[in-house]
Amino acid sequence: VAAVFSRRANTVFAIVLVALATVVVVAIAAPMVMVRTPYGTDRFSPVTQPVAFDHRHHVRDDAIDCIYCHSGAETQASAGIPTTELCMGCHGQVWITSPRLEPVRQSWETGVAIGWVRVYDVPDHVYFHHGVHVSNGVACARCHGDVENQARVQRVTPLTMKWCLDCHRDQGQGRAITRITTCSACHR
Amino acid sequence: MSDDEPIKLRTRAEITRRELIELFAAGVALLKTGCIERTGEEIRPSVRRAESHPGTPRFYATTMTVDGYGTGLLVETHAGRPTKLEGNPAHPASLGATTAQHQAAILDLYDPHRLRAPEHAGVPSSWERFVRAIATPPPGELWLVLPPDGSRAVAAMVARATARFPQLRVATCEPIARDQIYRGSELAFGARLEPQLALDRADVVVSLDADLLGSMPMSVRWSRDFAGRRSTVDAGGSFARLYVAEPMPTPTGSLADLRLPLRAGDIAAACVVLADGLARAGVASIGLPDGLRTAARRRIPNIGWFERVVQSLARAPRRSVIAAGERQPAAVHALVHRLGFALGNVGATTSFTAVPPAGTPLSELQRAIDAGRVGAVIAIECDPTLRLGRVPLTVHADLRTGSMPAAWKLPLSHFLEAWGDARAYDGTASLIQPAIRPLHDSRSRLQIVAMLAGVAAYDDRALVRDAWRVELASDAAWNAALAEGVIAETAAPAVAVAPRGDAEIVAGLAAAIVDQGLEIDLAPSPSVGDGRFAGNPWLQELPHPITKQTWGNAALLSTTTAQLLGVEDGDALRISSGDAKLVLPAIVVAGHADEAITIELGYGKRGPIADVGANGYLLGGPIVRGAEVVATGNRITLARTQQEFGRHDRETAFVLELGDYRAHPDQLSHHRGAQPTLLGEREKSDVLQWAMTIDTTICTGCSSCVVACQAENNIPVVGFDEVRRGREMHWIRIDTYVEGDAIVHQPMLCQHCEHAPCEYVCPVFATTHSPDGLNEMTYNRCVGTRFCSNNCPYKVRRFNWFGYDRPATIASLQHNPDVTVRARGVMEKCTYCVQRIRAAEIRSRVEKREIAPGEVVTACQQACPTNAITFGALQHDTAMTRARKSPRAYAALHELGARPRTIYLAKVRDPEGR
Repeated sequence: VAAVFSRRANTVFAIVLVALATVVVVAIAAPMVMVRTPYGTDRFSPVTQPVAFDHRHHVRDDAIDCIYCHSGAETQASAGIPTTELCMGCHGQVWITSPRLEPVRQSWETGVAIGWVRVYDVPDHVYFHHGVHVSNGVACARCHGDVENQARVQRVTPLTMKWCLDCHRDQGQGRAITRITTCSACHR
Repeated sequence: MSDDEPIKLRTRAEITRRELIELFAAGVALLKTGCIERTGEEIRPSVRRAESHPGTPRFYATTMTVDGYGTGLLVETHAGRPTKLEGNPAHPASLGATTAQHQAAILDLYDPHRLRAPEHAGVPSSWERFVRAIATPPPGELWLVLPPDGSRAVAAMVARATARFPQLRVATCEPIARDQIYRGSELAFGARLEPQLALDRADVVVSLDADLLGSMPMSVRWSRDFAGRRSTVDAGGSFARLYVAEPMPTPTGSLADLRLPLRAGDIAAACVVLADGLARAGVASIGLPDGLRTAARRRIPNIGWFERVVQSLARAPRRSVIAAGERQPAAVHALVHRLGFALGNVGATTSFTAVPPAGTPLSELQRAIDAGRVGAVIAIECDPTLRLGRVPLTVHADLRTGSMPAAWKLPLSHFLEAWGDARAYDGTASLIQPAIRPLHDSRSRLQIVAMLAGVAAYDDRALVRDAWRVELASDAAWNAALAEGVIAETAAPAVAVAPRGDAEIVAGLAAAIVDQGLEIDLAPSPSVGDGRFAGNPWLQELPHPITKQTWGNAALLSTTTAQLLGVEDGDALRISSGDAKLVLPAIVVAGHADEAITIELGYGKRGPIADVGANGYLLGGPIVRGAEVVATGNRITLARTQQEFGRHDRETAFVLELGDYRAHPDQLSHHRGAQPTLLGEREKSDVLQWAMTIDTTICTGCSSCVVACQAENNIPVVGFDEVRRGREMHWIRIDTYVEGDAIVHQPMLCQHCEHAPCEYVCPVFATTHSPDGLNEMTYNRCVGTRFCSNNCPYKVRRFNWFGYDRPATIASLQHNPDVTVRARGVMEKCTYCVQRIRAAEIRSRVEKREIAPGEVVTACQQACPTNAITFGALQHDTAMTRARKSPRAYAALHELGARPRTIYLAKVRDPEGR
């Protein structure tokens, strides 16, 4: 009887086995690596806003404090996006004819809010509170980077749970479950 | 029931192969994105400076009117969206607590079944057309049908409408009328009077079929006042006594020291026996003829109860309260008023305030319709049962379509969308202010009456402002009244009373004492009231305080009556009286009066949610004699959350008798305290340790906490079929045990065990312990093995068998944004309102201070009318922590060693006392 398998069969079989194992490992590992890459966490891609607002100019040149516009950051859960009224407080006086401010004036006149694009966001099951972080000494730049040097704001931190926990665990007790590392500190 | 589901749910996994592959692909895509929210979501800030800040709730004071009486509430709003109602601590009818109905009213605002735009003859119409239609009404009388209301602004508009249309008549639509009380005071004192009770000053309270702590207009306040005289039992406070005679156990009856099951129709006789006893004891003498006394004696089997009541009343001159229920005839109320007067209670524990003259009853409107005199009927915010015949113009304005076959169907604004004013039971006035703009093209009751009055601008705020121009002259006063939720010093003044002759009372009592075999007693439902809340799914699914029935009503009867009729739980009974015929399932209730059947009203109405149970109004009533009751031989499926009410010698839900407890206080010491354990001590860190104490002595089972929890924690409604399968989702279950004639309510919620059995069996660490003593549930980790629920000895964990909140509807707008909406396949349970704890922690840390004692209030605690539920940190010295040192304290199922953080206080009652 002729041999059922050729001489190469063993080698082919071994290669197929290794290839299958590799596919399985890659299929599991690749998404895990992917979500940690800047692409996966949506970092370093400047976001285009409906108004060509430049933080460099307002923060660096005009020395306006973050809190002036993001007034909730020190006490509230949400830092807040300024109202059109706040923009118009200055831009009703300066640069009143600038075409770049046309959407702001339009919003003010029509009463339709400007549709800003969110840059930093956490999932809905995470209850993040700006006020408690800022009032416990976490500077804005710790999470938001050097916004004063960004023409268009981009996400610079991954906002993954590990990234949150790294900091929360760093407050003294390491991996022990503490008031700020227990599940319900962030998830309710 | 089977082909007409009470609420529509997707209860089967109907997935095709194609969908499965799509879902699989979507799952892989989700795996990739994982827990990252990408940029690009649109956010729109306010254009102008806003009052609210996103993420931070704001509270506004307003008033909810039920049965014509206002209760002050605080509306929690998130970014302009009302999400929860809470009691207003400054309002005398609330003191910060609410009823279940107040809690559930928020859901009506977002009801998907609400009317959205005016309709005429089934065709979409407009308010302008309606205004034109009523500007020249058809010839004949013009009738306006309104619910009872203390609103001054509405009254002013009704007056202007009457000036415009001299043919205008106003009928009051009041399914469960309070008129007998006022007619009683007319008989007794010659004036229509509202009895104001000071239960905090009463040593003896006698309720003759009066659900003082449950369904009466001031019951939230009265519950707080009465409970204050009971919860102090350990501090040596005097223990107020409560005697209750009633057919069906009520929340009031569950707190009674001595409860006499008595048919509603025999209360008149009871009243006479009581008066007779008091006269014999020389306490209060009211001349009653001998014939009446003998007739009454014949109706009353158990004279012992009355002797005890008389003894107690004799010992408490000027410190007692006697009250009779709404369904009792005027003569009973008159005699009760007179007894109270003779006992010296008037001016001490009871006072009387004036009430406006009686409204015109609907029967008069019906007579006018039948006589062909009526040109138009306009019913607002009520659903009158009328034979309209050929009335040319018929209008019905309400939240939802009712049973009134009107040509015009007008959407009514919810009270959270409208301006108005109301009067509380004690006369205190308060304003109704909107918390949101009308969601639909609706108008408020005030606005519709204003249209009728021909007031051009329907600026309801201005109308209310005008009505209170004298009291709230300045803007500052107006704003203060809005902010506070109460118009200061508007409580009605007490009226001096003097007794009149007895002849009419005696005649009325003689007519009321009759012997006619089996009687049907109709009562408001503890859940849906007189039916105005029948469209509210939270209240339909709320277990009955005594029978634990959901989604429907039943024929409630005693064991003896059930044996006579040959029925048991779930057997269908056909009850017919005159033309009316009802088929209802029987439910046997321990402690129900014999020879009587109680049917709760408000069910069997039209509508997608309300169409469950049978409509008891068809029988007439409120006390129906000579009805025919037959067992049909069929069975009716019941959806009940508890079937067995005996404790079977198990040691839980303890009842102690006061004398015995005072003599041997330490009977329960082996049900609390440390136990040997192999599990090791949990590290007690320096953070605040949260705990709850529940006093079963003062828990009436009113279930306000259950609905408050539902509103706060985004708990879904599951429907009749799912409740029947034991899949209800309420995080609080009020376990009721009947032990002899004692009824104990033991609210059962997650006990937050220090050695939590659920935590040891979770394979994915989805339920863990926090450093501050909470048993946490992390929904995103849960894979739905349900091991935790199986290992929980308290059976307080709830599993999401379906995606109950999917797809999102307008009702999803009610959701509390501070609490996760759980998905299908996830376990959930009471969190001790962790969102409120964390909010308080964050607030204190932002403000650089410690959390104050009593700062964290759970939703159930907040709603509790009696303060039976207390919560706080073990490190603080509060009423909660002091109560845990009481000899009455026990841990539920202590012998299991789970070390629950929730501690109960045993029920103390005083059946032997005098």
